[in-house]
Amino acid sequence: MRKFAKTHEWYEDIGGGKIRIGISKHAAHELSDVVFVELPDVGKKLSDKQSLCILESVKAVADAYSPAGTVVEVNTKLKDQASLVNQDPEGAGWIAVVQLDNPKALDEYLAEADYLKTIVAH
Amino acid sequence: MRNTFCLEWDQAHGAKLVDFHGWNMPVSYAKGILAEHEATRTSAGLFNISHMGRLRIHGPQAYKFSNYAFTNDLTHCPIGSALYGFLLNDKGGIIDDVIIYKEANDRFLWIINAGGRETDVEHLKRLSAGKDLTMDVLSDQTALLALQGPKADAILKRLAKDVDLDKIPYFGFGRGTIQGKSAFIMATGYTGEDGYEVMVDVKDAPMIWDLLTTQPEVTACGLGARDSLRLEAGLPLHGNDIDETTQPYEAGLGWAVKMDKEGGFFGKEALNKTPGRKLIGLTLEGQNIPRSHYKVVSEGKEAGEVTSGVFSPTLKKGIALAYVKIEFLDKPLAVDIRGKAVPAPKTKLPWVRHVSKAKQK
Repeated sequence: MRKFAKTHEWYEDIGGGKIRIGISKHAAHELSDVVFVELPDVGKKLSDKQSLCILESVKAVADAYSPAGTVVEVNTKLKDQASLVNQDPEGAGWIAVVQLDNPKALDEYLAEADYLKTIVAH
Repeated sequence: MRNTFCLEWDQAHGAKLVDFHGWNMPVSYAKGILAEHEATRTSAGLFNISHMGRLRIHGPQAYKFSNYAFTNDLTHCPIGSALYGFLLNDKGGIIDDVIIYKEANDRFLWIINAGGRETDVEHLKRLSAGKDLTMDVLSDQTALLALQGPKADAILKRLAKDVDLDKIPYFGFGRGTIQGKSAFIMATGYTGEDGYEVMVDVKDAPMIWDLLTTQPEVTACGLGARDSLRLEAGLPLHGNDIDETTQPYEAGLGWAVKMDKEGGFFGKEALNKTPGRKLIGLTLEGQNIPRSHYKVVSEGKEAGEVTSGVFSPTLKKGIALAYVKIEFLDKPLAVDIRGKAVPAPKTKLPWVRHVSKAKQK
């Protein structure tokens, strides 16, 4: 089950209190031409809604945020192939896996349909 | 916001539109900035730059006045050639950077920036009061297209009639026709590539735009690629790297200022030839992109500020133009990116320029 943040990340519950994190198709399209992803170190502790990583596109810089937890895995492919974030933002362009401090942290986030409504409203 | 002739086409081709100096302009089309940049470096990019201003100054005092309002020297500029230079205010600050095309001894076409459409014209009107000349503002009745890249010449040779493009050197221009419509063809650009800028009647622009975009070698490009291309070519952008508060010498553009020319020029007395800072190129190490207003540091001290920064698609590195205080020019430089001092060695400009010898004057 995938949840979305108003700040344009997706969080996928992969079991064991872990979530996989990436940015939405909408965010990838808006950012366009992502050229570098400053990945966090595995083991990094994140407080709630803290920046998980920085995405640098040709024209802009953006943060991706995470609920509180610990980074347990990062998508090392992005080091040489940041364009995966544009090509497949909700698949191969994932950013990291985070072990949540609070396993219910995703409850406050939006279902995909509700997230998509916020974009239209925007 | 104002629209150019191209809005409908832009919207139909995935343009991301932004407000650029009051103009509704595409940052990029569906392919994205990187693809558009690459297409211009390897084949041909087409840019609608009709937001830029165009005016013609003609009449008995047109030469004397133009040469006084402009820092470069039109005296030795042959008819059919153009010069880059500046309009200065009384403090020596750059109101605009412009190109003047000498059509005749008493007739000059000025291409000015979008942001200068009002300010430049006001300044020129004030300065020319009482002079025997006419200033025709052509910005709204014409459109301006730039076809740039290694294949631009072959494409335009195929399409342009009544003109010999081989006789137009770099910074030269001539008149011809495209599909029977009059075209003012200039071998200038803002990408570091060979290519042309073509001024046509605004009524003919949609047809000529369609013709050019349907050539197999051509990719339509937005302002995003225009910016990364010009920055790689080391060319300043008015409003970022130069403006009313900066002077030509500190911007490294003294070559376009002729201090000794007859009659002088407006703003000359205020010019500082030994400025305390210099606009230089920086190439960043690692995966880091400098942005406008990031600080330049040197061994813990503030040394300057980035005015333009971008990911260079050609070098695959972050590059910047930055003003750096003279005393730090020979010191190790870095750009402060989110609190981290990223080494950024000074780099001779340009990073990329492919203007071929055959086209050079």
